[in-house]
Amino acid sequence: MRVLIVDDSSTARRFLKKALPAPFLADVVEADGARRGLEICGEGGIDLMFLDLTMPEMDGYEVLAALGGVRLATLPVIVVSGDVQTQAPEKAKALGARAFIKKPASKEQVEVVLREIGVL
Amino acid sequence: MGTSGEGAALPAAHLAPDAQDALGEIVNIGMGRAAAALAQSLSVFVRMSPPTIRVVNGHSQWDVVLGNRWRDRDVTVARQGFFGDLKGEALALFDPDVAATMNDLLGIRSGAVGPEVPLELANLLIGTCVGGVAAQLSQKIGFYPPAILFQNRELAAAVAGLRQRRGDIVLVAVDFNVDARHFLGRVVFAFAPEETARLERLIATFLTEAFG
Repeated sequence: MRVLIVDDSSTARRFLKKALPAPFLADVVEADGARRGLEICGEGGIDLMFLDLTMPEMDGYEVLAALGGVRLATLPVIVVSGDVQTQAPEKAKALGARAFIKKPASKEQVEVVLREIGVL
Repeated sequence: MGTSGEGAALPAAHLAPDAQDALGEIVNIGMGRAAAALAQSLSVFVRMSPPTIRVVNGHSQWDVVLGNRWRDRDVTVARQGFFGDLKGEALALFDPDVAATMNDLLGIRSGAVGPEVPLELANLLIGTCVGGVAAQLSQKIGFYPPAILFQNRELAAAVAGLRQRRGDIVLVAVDFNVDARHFLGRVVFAFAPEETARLERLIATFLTEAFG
């Protein structure tokens, strides 16, 4: 399984990689911004995306909107965000995200969500 | 942030790129909590920017505080210091119509608008964000009461008369707005030169504990 992590913070990407179950670490691609993340998605071959919401130039909501419903039907996106407003998960899921994890992501949270969306 | 200390030359502040990135992520989580507190208070959705982190000389600190968005605008600015294991001060910049917008959101029908609204907002945003940063770094801090630095004045002109802090400081800025409203704000907090080395050590400890 090829996993894409989209977050402008290298620290956040490290946190997430640390929280990923071992089988998911074999093929991880990182994008340090939304546009790069969309480029990588456009190249194909991504099976699962972890997406930050608060990024410069283009935020995670805009990434979800850009991917669109058709792409998101086949590409599960898990939002990982420090935005803990109650509306944030609702907005993200309304745009097609499968799940929402609050930062900093823990191994337990990630495993639960991966099971919930059926990829673990 | 607007006043300076006198005395011996201060050491130049330094924050390595890895530490700046980690601080940005820590602030991002802290500001997320602050946005949630504001959202809950007002029943609105709050958008925020990623943190901007700069190590700047005190003489140019206002360039970072202002940013392009704020330079030539009338703003209300509140200031609040924090003390304890982490020391510094924070500014909250608001659009001049923040009080009217807040009253509208809260359904308050009053005429005259005093400084209470920006003070309360500053207290909420700065307290939650900086408190969240300190908690992530396992530090205990307290806060001085917020005070209005100036109200409804063009920012560039208002800061021109302020004395500048000496030495290099670490500045962190986050913009936020209330979705579907013209309510913009910016929170900036500053760590003085004498605090920067300590901040970097705390971040190093945080990273070591997280990643070994």
